[in-house]
Amino acid sequence: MNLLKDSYNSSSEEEINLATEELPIVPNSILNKYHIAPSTNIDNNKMNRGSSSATLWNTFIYLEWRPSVKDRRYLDKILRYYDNVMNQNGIRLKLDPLYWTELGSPCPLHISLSPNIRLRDVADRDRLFKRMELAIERSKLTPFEVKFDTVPKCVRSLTNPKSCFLTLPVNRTTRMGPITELFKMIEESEKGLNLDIPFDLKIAMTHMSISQMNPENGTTLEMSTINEVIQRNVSNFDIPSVTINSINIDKNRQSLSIRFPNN
Amino acid sequence: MEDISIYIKDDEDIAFEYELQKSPEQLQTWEHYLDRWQEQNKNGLRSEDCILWLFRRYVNQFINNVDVWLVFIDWVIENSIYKKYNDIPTIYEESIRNCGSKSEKLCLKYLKYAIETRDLTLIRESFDLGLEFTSKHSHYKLWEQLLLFIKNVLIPTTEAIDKDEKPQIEQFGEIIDKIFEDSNQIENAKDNCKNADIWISIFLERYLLVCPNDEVLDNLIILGGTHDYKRIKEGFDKYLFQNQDYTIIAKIKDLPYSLNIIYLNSLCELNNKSECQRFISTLKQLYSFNHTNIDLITAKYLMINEDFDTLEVHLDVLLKDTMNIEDFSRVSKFHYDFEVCIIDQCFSQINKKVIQNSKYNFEEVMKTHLKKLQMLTRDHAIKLNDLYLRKSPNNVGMWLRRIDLFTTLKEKIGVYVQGILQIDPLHVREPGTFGRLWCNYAQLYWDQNDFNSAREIFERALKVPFPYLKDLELIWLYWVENELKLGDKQKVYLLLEQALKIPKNPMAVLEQYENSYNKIPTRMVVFHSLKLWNLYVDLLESEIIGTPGKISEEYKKTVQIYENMIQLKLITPLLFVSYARLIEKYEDQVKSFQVYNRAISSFPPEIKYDIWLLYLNEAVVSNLSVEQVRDLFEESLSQLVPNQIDCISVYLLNNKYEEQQTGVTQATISKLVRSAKELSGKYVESKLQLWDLALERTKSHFGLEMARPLYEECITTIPREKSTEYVTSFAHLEVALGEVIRAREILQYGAKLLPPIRNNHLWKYWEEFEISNGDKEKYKDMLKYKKKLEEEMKIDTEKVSQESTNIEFVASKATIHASRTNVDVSNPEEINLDL
Repeated sequence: MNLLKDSYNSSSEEEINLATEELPIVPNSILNKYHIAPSTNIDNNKMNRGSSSATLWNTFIYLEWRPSVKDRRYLDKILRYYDNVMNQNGIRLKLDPLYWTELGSPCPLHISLSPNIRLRDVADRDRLFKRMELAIERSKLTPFEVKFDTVPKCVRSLTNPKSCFLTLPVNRTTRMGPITELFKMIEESEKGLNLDIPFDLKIAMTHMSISQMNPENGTTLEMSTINEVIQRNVSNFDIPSVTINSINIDKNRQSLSIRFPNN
Repeated sequence: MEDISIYIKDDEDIAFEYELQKSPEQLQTWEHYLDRWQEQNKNGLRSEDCILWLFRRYVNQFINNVDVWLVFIDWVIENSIYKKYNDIPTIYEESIRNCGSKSEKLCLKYLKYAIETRDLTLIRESFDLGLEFTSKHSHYKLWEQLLLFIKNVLIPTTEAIDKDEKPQIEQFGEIIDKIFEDSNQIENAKDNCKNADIWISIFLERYLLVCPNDEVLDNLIILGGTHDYKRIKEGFDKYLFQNQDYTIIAKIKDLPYSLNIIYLNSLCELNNKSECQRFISTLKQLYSFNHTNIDLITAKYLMINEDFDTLEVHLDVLLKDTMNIEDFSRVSKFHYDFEVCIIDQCFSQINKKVIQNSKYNFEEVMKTHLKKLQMLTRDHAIKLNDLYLRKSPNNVGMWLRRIDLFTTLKEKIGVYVQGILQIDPLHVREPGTFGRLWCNYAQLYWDQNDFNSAREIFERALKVPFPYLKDLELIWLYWVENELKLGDKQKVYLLLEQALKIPKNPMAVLEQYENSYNKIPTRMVVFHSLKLWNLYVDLLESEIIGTPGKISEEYKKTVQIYENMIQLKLITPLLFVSYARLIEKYEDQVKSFQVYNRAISSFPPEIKYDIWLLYLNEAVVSNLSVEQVRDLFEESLSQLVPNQIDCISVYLLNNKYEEQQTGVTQATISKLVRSAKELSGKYVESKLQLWDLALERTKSHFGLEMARPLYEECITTIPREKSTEYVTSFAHLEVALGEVIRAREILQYGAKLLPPIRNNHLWKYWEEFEISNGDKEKYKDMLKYKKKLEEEMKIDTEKVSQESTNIEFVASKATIHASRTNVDVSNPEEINLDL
C-alpha cells in the first residue's frame, strides 16, 4: 500500500502544483521515444548481438491512457474504497496502483489489444506495423470513448500466480464497437507472419488494470472470493471513461503511435 | 617659298643636298644626312624643326617604305616633336594608308601606341585600321594585343570600380528607390552599363565571331565581367544555349559554375521573368548541394520585381536551410541590408511628403519592415544556433545554449523537447551533457512545483541508452537531491536502493560491460557508481549521527553499504577510515581495527602507510595490550620498510609509545638506532631525525660518555655531506669532557671526509677550537693539514661525475682518439691564426 499512500501524499503536492504556472505536460513523443529501458539482461543482450537463430522480435499492441492529476486522484479514491472493502472482509492485500511507477512517478495505463507478440523475423515485425498503419488509415475510426463496467474485476497475474490485478473491464458497447474493429485489424495484419507462438484475441477479456494486488502474509489468493466481495460491495463512484485517439505498438524500445485518421 | 637657308647651314649640307638632287633614291645618303643632323642636334647646333623638315622630305621620298616610316615615327615619339594629341595618330594613319598591305608592323605598333594611351576611341580606330590593312592571317596578332589589354587592364578596372562604388546595401537602395519612383528596370539596367563595359562587350562580340572554338568559353567569361547584360545574354544564347535549351541538365552540367551564374545574373538584370525562373530551377537541380549563390541571385531578382512578400519568405527559408556559416552570413546580410534599405527608402519617401502612391502606403511598408528588422536582429542568435544544430544535432552544448536564448518557460520547454527528440544518445560525444539536458528539463518542472512531471521526466531519462555512466549518475543525483529538498528520506532511499541494486555477479557484469564496447547498456553498471554510494552513505550517516551507540536499522544499512562498497572494490581509503570510525563509535574498537586491517590489505604500500598511521594512532590509545600494540608496530614496519616507505612518523610514534610504557631505556635508544639504520637511504632527513633523538636521549639520560659509541656509529653510517655536523658536535662533546686530544683527532678524521672547500663548517669550528684550546703550533699544524688536504682532495670533476652519475662524454673520447691517429697528418686547410 506504500505506493498508494505515496500517491495520496503526492496529491497534496499536485494541489500545490495547480497554484503555480501551468506547464505543458511531458509530450507523448518523449515518453514514446524512450518507452522501454535498455534491457539489463545480459543473456538477452548477447542474443540480440549475435546472429543466433533463436532471436525473437517482440511487439505489443495496446491503447494508452495517461491519467491526469484529477484522474489519478479519482482512481486513488476507488482503490482506497476497495482496499477498505477487502480489509473489512478479512482479505489482506497490498495494493500497488499501476498509474505510479515503482519509483513514484506517474505512468500511463493501458488496455491490451494483444498479448506479447513474438516474431521470428524483424521484417515481419515491421510488416505488422505497416499493415496496422495502413488498416487504420483506411478505416473510418475516429477518437472514441472507452467506457468501463461499474464492477471491477480481479484477474490473476499470468507471470506471477501469487499476484493479481484489479481491472476495469471494458463495457460491452465499447467492445462491440471500435475495439472489435481494432481486433479485426490485428487479426488481418498478423496473417501470414512468422509468429513464434500463434495467439488468440479475447475480446471479452478486454480490460484496463489499475492496480496490482499482492497478498500480505498468510493470505491466499482466491479469485472467486475476491470477486464475490467486490461484487457485493460495488462502489458508488463513477468509473471514469477514457478518450482514445490512437493505438500504440511497441517497436524495439520505442512505442509507435498510430493516430486515427479522422482525428 | 620656304627659306632653305634656315636648314642648309654649311658646305657639307650643300654637298648632301647635291648628292640627293643627283640620286634621291639613295637611302644611305638620306640616312647619313639625317645622322649628321641628329648629331648636330645633340651638340645644340641644330633644332628639332630642322630635323623634322629633313625627315618629312625623307618620308615623302620613300612614302611606301614601312621602315622609313617606322624610323620617322620612333624619332617623333622619342623626341616628343608633336604637342597636339591627334598628331601621332595622324602620322600613323598616314603611314599605314601610304604603305597599304605591307603595313602590318605599323598597324601593330599603332595599336600598341593606342593601348598605351588608354583612349578607347583611339584603340578602336587603330584596331579597325589594323584589320583593314593587314591580311586575315595576321588579324590574330591584333586580337591578341587587344584581348590582353581587356583581360589585364580593362576588366579588373571595371570590377574594382564596381566593387568600390557599389556595396550591396547601396545597390539595394538604388533598386528600391527606382521601384518606388516607378521607373523602368530594363532601361535602368542599360543605363547602368558603363561605357567601358559596352566597349569591351562590342569587341568581345566581334571576337566571338572569329575566335577559335576552344576560346569561346574563356571569352564568354570575360564578357560576363561586363555589365552589358543584353550582349552577355545574346552571346550565351548564341554560343552556349543554342535554342535556349538550358533546361536539359546534361547540356549545362559540364559548363563552369561561373558561366551559369553569369547567365542567371544577366537574366535577372534584364528582368526576363519566365526565362529566369526556368533557368533557376535547372540550376537548382544541378547544384542541389550548394545553391546559396543561385538563391541570392533569385532573391535579388525578386527584389527587382517588387515581389517583397515572396522575397521575405524566400530569405527565411534560405536561412533555415543554410548548412555553413559562410552561407548563413551572406543570406543574413542580404536580408538585413534589404530591410534597412526598404525602411530607408520609405523614410525618404515620407520625407518627400509622399505618404502613399498608387502602389504603396509607405508608412505601412515601413512599419512592416521595421518589425521584420527587429525580428531579424532579435532572432539572429537563435538562427545561428539553428545552423549549428543542423550541422551537428547531437551537440548537446549547443542545445543547452539554445535554451538560454529563450525567455519564457514554455519556449524553453519547447527547446528541451525538440532537443531530446532529436539527439541520438549514442552519438553524443561529451559524457554527462545529455544527462544534464534531461536534468535541467526536469528541474524546470520541479522548480514550478510540478513534482510529478519532473519525476516522470527523471524516470524516462533513466530509460535512455546513455553510453556513459556519468549521465545516469547525474540523473539519479539530481532526482535524489530534489527529493531530499522535499524531506522525504524514504523516497530518497527507495531511489538510491533502486539505482544501486547489485546484480548477482557484479564483477562478471562489470567485466562484460568493459569488454562490450557499448553493446551492453550503461544502466547495468550504475551499481558501480562511487558518487551514488557516497551519497547514500552520507545520507545514512547523517541520519544516525544523532543516536551514537544505538544500533538502529539505519546503522545496519550503513554498515551494509560500506560492505557493498568493499565488495565492489569501490571503497576509498578515506571511506575505509570513516567506516572504521563508525564501527568504533557504535560497536567496539576491536571491530573497527578489523576494518583497518581490511583496508590495509586492500591498498598499495604508499596508501597503507597513511592507514597504518591512523590505525596506530588509534591503537596506542586503545585498550589493546602492550604486546598487541607492539605487534601492530612490528607488522606495520615489516610491511612498509621493505617497500622503502618513509616511516618516520611510525618510528616516532613507536618510540613515544615505548617511552610511555618503560621510560627512556637503552632498549628504546637501541630501537631508535636500529630504526635509523634500517630506514631507506632515500630519506636522509628522517634518518637524521632518528639519530638526533637517540643522541639527545642518551646524553640527557645516560651521560655524555655514553654518547661516544653512538656518535661513532652515526658518523660512519650517514652520508659524508651530513656527517661533518655530527663530527663537530662529537668534538664539542669531547671538549666538554676535557678530552682535547680526542677532540682534535675527531676533527682530523672529520676533515678527511670532505675536501676543505666543502667542509667550511668543520674548519671554522676547528679554528675556533684551536684558538680556545690549542697553541700557535697546533694552529699551524691545522693550517698545514688543511693545505695538504686541499692538494690531496682536488676534485677531479670528470672522475666525480663518472662515479656519482655515470655520465661521461663518450663522443669526446672518440674524437680525441680520432685526432690522435691523425696527429702527424697536416691539415691542408689549416689557417694560421698567429695567436
